[in-house]
Amino acid sequence: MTTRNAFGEAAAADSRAADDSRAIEALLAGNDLDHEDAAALRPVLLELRGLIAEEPPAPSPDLAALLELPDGAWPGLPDAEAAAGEPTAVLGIHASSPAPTAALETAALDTAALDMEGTARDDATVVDLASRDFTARRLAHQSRTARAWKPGRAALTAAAVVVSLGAAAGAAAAADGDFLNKTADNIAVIVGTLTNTRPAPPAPKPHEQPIQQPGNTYPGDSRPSTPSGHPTESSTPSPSAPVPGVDSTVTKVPGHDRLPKLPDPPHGGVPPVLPTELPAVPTIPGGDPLKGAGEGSQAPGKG
Amino acid sequence: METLTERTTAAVDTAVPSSAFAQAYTELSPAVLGYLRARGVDDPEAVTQDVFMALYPRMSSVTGGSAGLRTLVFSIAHARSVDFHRRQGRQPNTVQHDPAADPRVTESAEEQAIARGVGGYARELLESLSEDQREILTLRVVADMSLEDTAAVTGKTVGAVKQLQRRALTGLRNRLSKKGEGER
Repeated sequence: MTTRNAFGEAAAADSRAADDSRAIEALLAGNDLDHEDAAALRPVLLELRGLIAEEPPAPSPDLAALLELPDGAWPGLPDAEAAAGEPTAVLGIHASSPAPTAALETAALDTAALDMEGTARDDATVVDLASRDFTARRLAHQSRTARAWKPGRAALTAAAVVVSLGAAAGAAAAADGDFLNKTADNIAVIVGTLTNTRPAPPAPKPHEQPIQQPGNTYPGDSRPSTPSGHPTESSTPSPSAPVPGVDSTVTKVPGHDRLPKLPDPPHGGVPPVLPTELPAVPTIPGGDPLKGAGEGSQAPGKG
Repeated sequence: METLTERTTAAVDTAVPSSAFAQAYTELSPAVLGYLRARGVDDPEAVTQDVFMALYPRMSSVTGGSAGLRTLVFSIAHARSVDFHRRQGRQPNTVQHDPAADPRVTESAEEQAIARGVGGYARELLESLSEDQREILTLRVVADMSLEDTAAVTGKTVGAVKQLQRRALTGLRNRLSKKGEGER
């Protein structure tokens, strides 16, 4: 066994050279070579044997973990025992062997385990933090699942109610037309409630028509506007507002106010295209066009 | 040649892989590195790590003490080197053009010595041998393996190994003679 200790590298090199010579002589002796051939081959074979590294290569992090090296310790590094002056056999490894990468990474992890105040976290804290993080992620996942599931459940309930009510109404509809209208309204209200969508309000009566105010770019849009007259949000009209160019005829059912019937979209579900040029906004006497909707919403003559 | 300590051998025989593995790495990795260098493997250090990573799960099944462990280690190293050469045969090695390494420029003697590195001359001579002869000679000289162990690693008979070794040495001798005549 080749050992290297405090006696220095020279002795180890001598020992190694002796080992190499013995090995080469044994090899040459086993091949019945004459003296001249053996002499010619010896330096070449010794040079080939010189390819053997003098020390083990520094292990990779994975390999260092398998080697079960203690943190920051690589067998070539002088340990406390060696520092105290005791000769230590380190199995043929130079004291100047580079420390493995794993040791450096361990040191970096130790540094990362320090909190902002410079105090080291103990293992329990780290485990606690990890478990809290896991719990938070699990709760977030449950919340997302619940949010995705609720609308689906409401829609299913609404469909079941509609089917049951429709079956009951169908039986009575043949006899009483008024009952059919009432039932249709009730179904609309129930569906709207379950699906959390607000049913369209009834069409305004002629004496309740909204007053056109300056600053609104669309009739019926009562949102506050910017000084330039543009709405602060998207300019999509509310569903209850009368659309210019669309016949907002109210189908009157005796005893009931029905919703205004809008024409079908031209291309299967696409809402009707609004005219690019809006109708001229009527000037209100005494109204300030620069005022917002909130300020100018009073009826003329009130102030 | 027995290079592993008695403690290592005992640890291997009693299937205690942890300390035995570290001991095996310390004792055998220099020879594995040298073997892979002699076989011309790119990045021999990384392949050495691979060899010992592959050895670790098999440590408990090693039989035959230190000789058995050495045979297993070099069997893995041999397989890795064969894999490397097969892979290299399938796909050409592409390197970026480096003007400093352009072979059309004559190197100085110093540059040649540096490029050769340790054992450069011997490796150059090895290139003149056949693949089998090169493999046998490397295992016998660098890995320090017996004829029987070499036969086990390469999957050949002892007689075939002996014959290949003899031819390899004769080939090296002839090559050296030709070189000597050329220099004169």
